[in-house]
Amino acid sequence: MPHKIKADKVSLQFQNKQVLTNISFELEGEKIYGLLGRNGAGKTSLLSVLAAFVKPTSGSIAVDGEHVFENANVMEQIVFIRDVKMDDENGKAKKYMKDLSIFRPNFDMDYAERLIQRFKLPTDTEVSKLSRGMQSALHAIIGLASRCPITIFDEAYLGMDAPAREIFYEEVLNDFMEHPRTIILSTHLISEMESMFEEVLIIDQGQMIMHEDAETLRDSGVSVTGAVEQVDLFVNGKHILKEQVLGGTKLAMIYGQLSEQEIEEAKALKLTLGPITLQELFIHLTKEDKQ
Amino acid sequence: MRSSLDENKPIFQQIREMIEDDIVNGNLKEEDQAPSTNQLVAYYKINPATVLKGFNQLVDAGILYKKRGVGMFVAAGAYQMLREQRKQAFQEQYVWSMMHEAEKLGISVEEIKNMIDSMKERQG
Amino acid sequence: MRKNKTTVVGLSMFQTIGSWMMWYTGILVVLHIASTATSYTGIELNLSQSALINGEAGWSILNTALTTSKGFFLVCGLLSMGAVIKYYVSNGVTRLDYFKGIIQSIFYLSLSFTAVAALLFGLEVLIINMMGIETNIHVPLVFYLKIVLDVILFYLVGWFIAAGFYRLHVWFGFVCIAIAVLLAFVQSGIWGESVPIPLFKLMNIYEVSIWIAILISLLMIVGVSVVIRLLTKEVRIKD
Repeated sequence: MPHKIKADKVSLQFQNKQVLTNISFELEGEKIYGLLGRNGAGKTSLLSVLAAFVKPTSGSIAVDGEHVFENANVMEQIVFIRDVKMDDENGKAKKYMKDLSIFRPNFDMDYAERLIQRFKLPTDTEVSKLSRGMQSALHAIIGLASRCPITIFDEAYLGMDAPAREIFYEEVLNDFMEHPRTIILSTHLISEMESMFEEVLIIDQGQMIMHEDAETLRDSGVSVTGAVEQVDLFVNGKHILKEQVLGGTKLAMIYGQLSEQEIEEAKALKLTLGPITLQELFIHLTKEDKQ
Repeated sequence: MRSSLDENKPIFQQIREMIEDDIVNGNLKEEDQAPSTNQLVAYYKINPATVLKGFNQLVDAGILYKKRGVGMFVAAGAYQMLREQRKQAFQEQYVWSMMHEAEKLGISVEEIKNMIDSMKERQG
Repeated sequence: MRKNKTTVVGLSMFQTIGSWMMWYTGILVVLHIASTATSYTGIELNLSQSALINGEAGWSILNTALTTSKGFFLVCGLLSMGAVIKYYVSNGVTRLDYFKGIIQSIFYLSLSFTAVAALLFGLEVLIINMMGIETNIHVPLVFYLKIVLDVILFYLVGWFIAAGFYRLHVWFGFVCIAIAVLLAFVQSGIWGESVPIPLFKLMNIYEVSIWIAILISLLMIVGVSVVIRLLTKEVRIKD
């Protein structure tokens, strides 16, 4: 079941506020995708369109050529997990999951029970009375055990503490290997999750500014360290993301790969080259004062 | 195996180096089975495709070979091959930067040789 | 095999609201017994059609059911919007299946509530007969039909108000309430019920013949359903 998700010029307006502008992308194959964006960049809105929670003002999102909005076949295959409060849900966790498993043809109750044990989710407490972290865990369990061909976690980890997040990451990867599917993880905390992504999409101010293979993206920036004058000489004319001077040493981050010749040149100037992290790249790509 | 990954290097490269290290220092012998993708994914919380990329590079280089349905194994001759590569890299990286630093400090090649000799003696 | 989502929604809503309905029915019985016990004066029993519908036979549990169920099902309707549509869409159900499912459950609810009321009435008559009171009881079928129509209409009206608030601005929600009040008055008026509100008397709605009343009720039911569908057809799911 290869699922191809195609967004075609998706725009979204809420009460005259432009939330998404002309977003197009294609996600092909069973991969783990990272959707990165700052708070308010439009991550949740974009995912809401994908999950048919909202109809785009213009443009469309289709899965294998079928429009998502109000399409029973497609909607059944998408689970959209958000870290929302469940204060109006009574009933205990297992009952709650059993009820909604009716709607998910692939729901694996055994797996859900194993996850309940791993997350130490109390099964004798009403869902609405669970702590924030436990509600987050419950959301995560539902998202994983539903085994939907398109599984979306929208900052689903927010309420979890570090050990719970660790379990969550591990389970996402394990279950992805056992049951390959399209998994989309949105986050603004990148360093913790970046190694999980195969492809990365970056959204900023309602626009898609980057869609790239994660390894390629990590490779698309270079940090240059050395004496101030030498660094200045080397980075002149290049796309500089960040510069920092400490005494006589300068660190510059540049966007774009270096040619063999440039690497030799850097060596001659006695500069140290290194990669830059996805986190750094993200911060600089989504800076407010960028051109 | 290492306890954690280095943020400053591509992950697939670190996976590759990790396996290579294990072969060079004898933790993985020829015809031994390499760690599985699942183990590495779960341990380091990394994308399976990234691990595969590292493995595939090792397969392409003739360090590992694939047994269908079983896993990855260390190829015959892998140790020798890696040792040669490392030797070259040693010269390129360590010796080069040593000489670079020595130049800064005004240390002559003769002096370096003496330093190495005295280090050897100290080690016994 | 793919399950029919409309039926899944319909049955699960029927289950949920049906369980509330049983609680409500229990309270209804207690209230009825209490009020009958305090007001029992050996009244003469006149169970003609118009007497029942005009509330002259206020002693019967059917009448208590008829008058109080409106409020109960209105509230059920009000609660069928926000959290409910969010729950279903979150679980991959379309707005259409949500709509059709709730319509289906309203249908089940109206029938089962009327059946329960009829059963209780039968029990009541049995008790009265055992007490040796002479009765000449004949409840026309249309009386039960009126209960069915009331349950459906008032549930829909509640749902309509909630949908108005959910989908549109708050002021439009109030417009929906005004429309709802109007519909409620018309429903009572055409069936010859009186509502103790001055505005109702001012509107001076004429009682019409049974067949016309049924027709108008049905038209209102269809009309409100269509409007609810239009309001929820492409509605955005809120957090």
